[in-house]
Amino acid sequence: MRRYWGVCSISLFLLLLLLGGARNAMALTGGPDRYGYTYSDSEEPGAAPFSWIDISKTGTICELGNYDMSGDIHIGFKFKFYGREYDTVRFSSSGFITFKKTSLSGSAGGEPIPTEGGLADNMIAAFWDNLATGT
Amino acid sequence: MFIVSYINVPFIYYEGADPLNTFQIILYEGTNDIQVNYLDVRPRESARHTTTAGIENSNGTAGLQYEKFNTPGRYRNLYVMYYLGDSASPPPSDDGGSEPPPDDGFGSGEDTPPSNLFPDGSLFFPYIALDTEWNTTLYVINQDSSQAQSGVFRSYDEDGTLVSETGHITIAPNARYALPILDLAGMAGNSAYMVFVPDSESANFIGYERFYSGEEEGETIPAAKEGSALVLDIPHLASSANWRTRIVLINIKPDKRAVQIQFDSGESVYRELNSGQQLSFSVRELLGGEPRPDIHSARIFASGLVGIALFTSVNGDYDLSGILLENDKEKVICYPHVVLSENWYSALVAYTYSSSCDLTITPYSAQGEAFPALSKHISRSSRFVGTFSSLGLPEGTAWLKIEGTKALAGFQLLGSKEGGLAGFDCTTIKKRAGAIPGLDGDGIAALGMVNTEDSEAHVTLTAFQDDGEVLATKSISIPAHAKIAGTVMDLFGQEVEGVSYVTFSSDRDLVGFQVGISDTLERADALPIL
Repeated sequence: MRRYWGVCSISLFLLLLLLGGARNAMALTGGPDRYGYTYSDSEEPGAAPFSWIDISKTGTICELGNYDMSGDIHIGFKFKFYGREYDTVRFSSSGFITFKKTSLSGSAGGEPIPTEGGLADNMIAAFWDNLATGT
Repeated sequence: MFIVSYINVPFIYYEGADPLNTFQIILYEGTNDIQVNYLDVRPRESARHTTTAGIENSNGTAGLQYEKFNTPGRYRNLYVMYYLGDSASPPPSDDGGSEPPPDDGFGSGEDTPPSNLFPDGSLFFPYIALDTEWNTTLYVINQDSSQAQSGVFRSYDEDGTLVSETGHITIAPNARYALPILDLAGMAGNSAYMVFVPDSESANFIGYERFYSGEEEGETIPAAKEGSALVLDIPHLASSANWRTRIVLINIKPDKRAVQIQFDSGESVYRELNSGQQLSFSVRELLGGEPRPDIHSARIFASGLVGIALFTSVNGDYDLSGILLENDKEKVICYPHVVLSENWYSALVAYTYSSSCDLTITPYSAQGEAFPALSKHISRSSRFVGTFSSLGLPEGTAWLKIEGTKALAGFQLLGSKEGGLAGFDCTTIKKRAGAIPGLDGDGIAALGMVNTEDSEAHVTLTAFQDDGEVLATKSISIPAHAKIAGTVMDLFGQEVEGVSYVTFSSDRDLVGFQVGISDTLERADALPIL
């Protein structure tokens, strides 16, 4: 396992793990957007059960201050997002990850998605808000 | 599979018991599906705070928002999958065209910055004060000592529409050009801000602007040279019955910007700024029309902005002061001018946006002697504000160094007992070569420099007049951590008539400033070294 940071945070653990995995079949509940992405959640009929993956013992712990952005983190494989392939990603302390290499700040949340010319782009926002990751 | 987990993360601002949020993002190899697991989260939706979730492409033209989080509450053991639908036809291009973009290798081309609205080297004067009482003069110095350089002043209205422009102005080597806006026919009308656009990108200009209203009010502020990377910090916002702060922002990029203005109260206001558009506001204008003394600072999230903060007293008892808003933050900030006298006072602001921060404040004498250090603590997204007199500094303190455990932004204010007030940013003023302008105003002008290093600095001072002619040179030594300050005559040891600015070169890092005061002590202005 490659270590990316040498410093640990007491409040935020950003943990990385490379594992084998498979996709669950889902029912459509949102979208498609103009590129063709859709989403569905686990409360849809027939959805696979929720399963949390605990990587606390195998991942790498990283520290980010409030509104911080990590450097480039290697994904370990080529991941295609909106038609382009990436092998690195950046983590925001504000609850999103981005493939944009010039992103320097975690940026506060609250913006509708998508927003043209917005605060963050090329991103996966899991829980975008003012999150306190600093000590 | 690639997994990022956020474990037990609280909110920065939360009313009530702060819940902890635990969630993870999973990227699947091969299928390129995205799964977001929520073990336990509490998204919120209010005027002040909103949690959003979803995906967005590289320019914000495509994306999905997970709508369930529009309903606040507690969500546990929930996941969301984002994936490309099984479409019979190829998906539209990420760029909005009919074909998908080529896979050009790991995102290459994704982060190509947009072309600039203004060429490199442009100087931005974000605000023009011009009415029956106020006037503004712009100053540009050609730092090229070998050849003349030229450029054009362009005037824009609030919407970013070009109002007028000068012809090409040629500025001799080392010369300074002054442009009083009131004297410029056709410029005055709707001019909200101005830009000096050099004819050559290799030109080396610096600039500043001066607002003034008779003998009573005035301030000088450096011209901005580049836009924000992503955040502009406003270390001090006054919104009280007696004080107000005006923030002026300009989008200098060729595309529209979404701007989030987040106050230390936790409230956020969102605006869109078109290319070239100016946004001017006070806290009370933005948040309901009433003073908000509970607000003290703000962060502006957007790239490609330049901006200034202007501090004014509501009843006019105090002089206008202001600072250029800077991108940068440092763990060590030097406040080069501590004055504790009958006629003058001085104050500082040290601000951290991130987490709580411990400050070590070391006072120094003019001779470089370090006095016992003080300790202060500032909490998350907070700041330390104090007059130098309230710090209980030892007699003989000439300047201060503040070291933070986190990155800081900071500036200092100088005030006279007659209401004169001036400020300058202290965050990025450490240099080995630069200029100290603004030495030719009415009244008295002084300059000062501090050697921030542990060994003696050897400094060459050169005094210039407006046409670039050298009036005097002087070699001086500044001991470690020592400070020199005074009028031009004090520093050069002789009378030097007609000085408009002084340059310096040093073998050590210096911080420095200029301060001017009217004869009545009612109007003061100040600049950091440029």
